[in-house]
Amino acid sequence: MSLKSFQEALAEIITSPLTGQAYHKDPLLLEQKYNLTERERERLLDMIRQKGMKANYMLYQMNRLTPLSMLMAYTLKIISPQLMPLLHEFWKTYPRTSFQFRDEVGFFSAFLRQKIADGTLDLPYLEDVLCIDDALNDIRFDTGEQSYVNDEFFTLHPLARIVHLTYDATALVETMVTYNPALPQPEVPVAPGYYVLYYNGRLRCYAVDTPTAMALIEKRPVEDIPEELVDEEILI
Amino acid sequence: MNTPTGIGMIYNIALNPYFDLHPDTLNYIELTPDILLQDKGPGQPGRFIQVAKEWEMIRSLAQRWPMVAHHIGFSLGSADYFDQEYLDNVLRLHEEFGFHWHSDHLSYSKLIQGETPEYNTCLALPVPYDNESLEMIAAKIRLIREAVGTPFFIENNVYFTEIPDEELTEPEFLKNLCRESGCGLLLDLHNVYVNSRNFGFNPYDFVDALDLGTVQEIHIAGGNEAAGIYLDSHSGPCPEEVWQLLDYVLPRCTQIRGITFEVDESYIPEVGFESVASQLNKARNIWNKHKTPQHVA
Repeated sequence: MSLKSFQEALAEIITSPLTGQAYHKDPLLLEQKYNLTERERERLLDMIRQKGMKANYMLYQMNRLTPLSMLMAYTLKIISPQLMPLLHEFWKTYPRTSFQFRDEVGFFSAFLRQKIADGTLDLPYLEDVLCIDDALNDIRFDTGEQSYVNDEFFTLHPLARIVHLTYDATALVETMVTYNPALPQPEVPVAPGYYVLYYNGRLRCYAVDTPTAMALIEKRPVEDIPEELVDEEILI
Repeated sequence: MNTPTGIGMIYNIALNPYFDLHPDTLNYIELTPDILLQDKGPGQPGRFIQVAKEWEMIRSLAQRWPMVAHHIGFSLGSADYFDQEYLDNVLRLHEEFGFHWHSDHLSYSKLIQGETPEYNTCLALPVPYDNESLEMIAAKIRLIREAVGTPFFIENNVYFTEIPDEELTEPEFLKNLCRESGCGLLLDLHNVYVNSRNFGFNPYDFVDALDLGTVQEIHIAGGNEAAGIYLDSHSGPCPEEVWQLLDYVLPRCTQIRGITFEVDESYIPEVGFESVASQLNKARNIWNKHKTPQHVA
């Protein structure tokens, strides 16, 4: 039990310099929280004082940032002015992770959505960009378990998802490629509605009307079939 | 297929074009299955999911090269923890790919605390070199070896903080662990270099203190410095000190099977395939210089 407790304590310490400092300042906190032998307690306090503990803090944060920077690139561009405070709040809110990239981006997306809903995060294009990143990740991590194939009527390609956006999807994605929050905010046409996002390493966006979007989402036959989507083999 | 000897490389997706460009630089491919699996978590039905298109590539590579497995998910150092479902999945993969050997790290990265589900420490953390850890890890390795039936190697750890007042030195721990568990040593020379640089010890003294007769695989890699600490980032070519260490240690490793180069996929565009091939060729030159009749590659 004691070694396990030592390992839990060390795992907690590396998550933040503040945690390490708190235990360094008041070692009693360590004893209250963990079932440690005296040797284990002294080991942890010694390790907190070592220069290399900074590397542990840094690597922990880099490792947790990696899936977000790889898989939520557009979102991270938008939130970049507030990135570090948001990340620290996220890591505090979700201190324990499976470290599965799919889960990690899902948790971060949920965290941002909650802040948007609470009114504590309001950045241009964020909601739409988050929808796009979520859809892309849903496609990336699609294992075929949810694939829906129907020989009777057209269905959506497994590499396509439907999202509802406020801004024109194609214009927004093009803007995101060069987006720099330090520069004046670029104009993206407001065009609320449903869009089909198709991603096979390259992202393509198509506006669809509401009845078509609802039919595809609900896996019903589409009445007015968009020829472009059939020609592009996005409806199959 | 005969047990591979010679030069290998750890697979990552960014290397896919490499295998057609420089096939002659490789005798085997080392796969970390964890990076190509989605893990839904302990107890979940169909817990480990293979993403089809990535595993198609692995299957095509397995037709061309012998495969070995380098795991990151046993978390051998975690106290009161053994993931039988993870081992069952390793056995399924072993059945399909016929890995010539398996390995994992001397560290811990997974914990179960209280009522919370298993979580990941997001950083491989060191275990105390005490007899308690030794017995715990040796028991797990014996279990894995018995289940898998092929050689299993333990990799020496890289660490950034030392655990004070340990009962054994790292070489003593590794030596005893190999003896108690029957495993081989995967000697990561870059890890030795990183630790020696950050903690100011002589890497030659370190390797001399090991039982080099237990070394069956060697890892080589590059790293970089950040915030005054040298990191095992696998960021490109091996430092000259690692090549010198390899040249020193290789003739002493009488049971060696292979030298494996590690490079992180995020650095591939910067490093380039030619540079990767040059690292593998350099490793091969050292291999050829020291190989004995028992090393057939």
